[in-house]
Amino acid sequence: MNEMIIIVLVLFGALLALLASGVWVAVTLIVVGFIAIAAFTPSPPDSLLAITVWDHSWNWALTALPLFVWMGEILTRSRLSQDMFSGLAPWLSWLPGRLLHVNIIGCSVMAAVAGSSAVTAATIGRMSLPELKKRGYSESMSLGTLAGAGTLGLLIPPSIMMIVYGIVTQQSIARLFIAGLIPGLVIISLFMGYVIIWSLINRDKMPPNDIRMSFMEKLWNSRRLIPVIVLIVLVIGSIYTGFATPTEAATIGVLGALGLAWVSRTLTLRSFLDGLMGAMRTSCMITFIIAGASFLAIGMAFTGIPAALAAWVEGLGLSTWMLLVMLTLIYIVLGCFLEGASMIVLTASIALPMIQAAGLDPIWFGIYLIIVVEMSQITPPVGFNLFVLQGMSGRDLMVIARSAFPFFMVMILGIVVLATWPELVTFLPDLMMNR
Amino acid sequence: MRRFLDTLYLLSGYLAAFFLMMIAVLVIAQVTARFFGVIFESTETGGFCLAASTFLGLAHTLKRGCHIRVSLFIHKARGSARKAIELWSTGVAAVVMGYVTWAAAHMVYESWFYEELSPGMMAVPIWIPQLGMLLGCAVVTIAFADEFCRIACGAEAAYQEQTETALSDDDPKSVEVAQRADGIASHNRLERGRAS
Repeated sequence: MNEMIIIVLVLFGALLALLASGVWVAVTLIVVGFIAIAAFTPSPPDSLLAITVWDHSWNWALTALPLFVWMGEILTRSRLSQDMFSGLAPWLSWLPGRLLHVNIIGCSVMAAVAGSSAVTAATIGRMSLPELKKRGYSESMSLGTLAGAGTLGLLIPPSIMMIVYGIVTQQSIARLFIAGLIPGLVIISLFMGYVIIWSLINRDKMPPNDIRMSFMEKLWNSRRLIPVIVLIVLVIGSIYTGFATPTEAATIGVLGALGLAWVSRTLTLRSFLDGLMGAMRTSCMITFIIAGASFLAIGMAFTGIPAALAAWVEGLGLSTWMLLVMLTLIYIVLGCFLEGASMIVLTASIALPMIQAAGLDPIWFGIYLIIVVEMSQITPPVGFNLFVLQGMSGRDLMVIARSAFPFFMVMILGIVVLATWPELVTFLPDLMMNR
Repeated sequence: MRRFLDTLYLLSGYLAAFFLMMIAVLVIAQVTARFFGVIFESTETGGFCLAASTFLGLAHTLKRGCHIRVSLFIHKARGSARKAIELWSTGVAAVVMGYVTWAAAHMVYESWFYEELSPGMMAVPIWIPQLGMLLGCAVVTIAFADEFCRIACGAEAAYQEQTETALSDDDPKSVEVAQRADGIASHNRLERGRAS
């Protein structure tokens, strides 16, 4: 046991030191994996390194990732974001909170195509922030809804983070996608519920409803959104019905996105190449981390740390709730410094044995983990949605963090809801299995 | 020399993008083939394309500042402290990726020597797709060493140009491009709606 403590201290010390000194995450993972194997096991690290990294980099399930990233790249380059505000505003202005809901719903729709949170917040925000300001909406609520709902990009399928989690923990990506649907709706409803309650309490801060349109006018205003929504339903539906694998669904998404861009005349050779290169860079960055993490995971498994940690936590005799509270606190602290993909690959292989020992479902834990990662996007000092909104609004990082704080709390409430009724997560994928 | 290296990274990046596109092309081919009752298996080749895309794209992605690192403390450092940190991180990365390149070379040689075949239906000699990993790792090792030398000579690191977003989970360029591409047109529609 003493030896184990030394191994843990050395490895985690090296990990923290390398990360803090600015060494790239993927490179750090390889170094720590190397130390684990070279120093604490008799195995030769070099052949293990090459074979592990190679085997994990041509994983068929992972091919969905670059394609979904590409789909998002194409659509963010099309007119989609411009159409979102004008298309949604007429439908939502009757709710208490009025156009603040455009941020939430707009981000949700964007999330379903972009699969990443910073792009979601940026594309919706640059249209809605000026419009909301012009109409006199509370700035902190405008920023807060954007920061909070922007994170939905991770939860609403197709989600890049879910692919990362599915690959690292060897869970079915299709099931994860489907499992994310209802929790996504739960969080959206909670966000909207908060906005409704807030605006009923603060009536004096709400500008009047200034949109009067007939039903047909509303429909005409949102005509460009309809093809996108059809595309989303097609992509998710084809996975849900088992008609297509995630990779095939992603290919449908890419073709559909190209078609939409072509129809809206935003598809040029230039934008096609830009989108492809952008998708290549994003996916290269993530797959590089996954390859590094695969080597670290092998090293960790050789040293026996995850199993020992799981046994230790089991020995503590914590209740499931206590375990979740503890993990959530750890993740919130981690989330202040690390970004999503790194957080998932670093912790999943260590936390999963612990979670399974406690009797929690790995799919449920995946959804939980993704919500916690979402929360980390809006915690200072490192939170990407905060960075994006800072760049867009010119406000101080802490001001934006304070506006986002209520939504951070709402997400914690969301986790409590999902922990109380785990069926919300497992219900749909189980239905899918029984087909 | 500078021109040669930059061209190398860019070409390697274009090749990576080509392989990414090939994944989609293979899936389309597979679905079409299935429709006509022809058996064409894309799972394995798709995976090979993904691996090639990942490794060949490494250097270009680095130069565009898209690889992730924790920049919290780096941003606090100024002057020579900053230079020392950058030398350290690029130095470590160059050594590590050099080691990975060496290990990959060894793996490719063994696959070739023992005439190993891929496990799927295609049964191609596995060293062919593995070559992509070797080449990509070699190019990114050169890129890290290149950055190390540039910083040592007092130049600004190429990957620093997008400092704040270098850590982002998204390609910072895509947001910018989308922002620029945005016209004024969209504002007008809502105005028209309200007026009517």
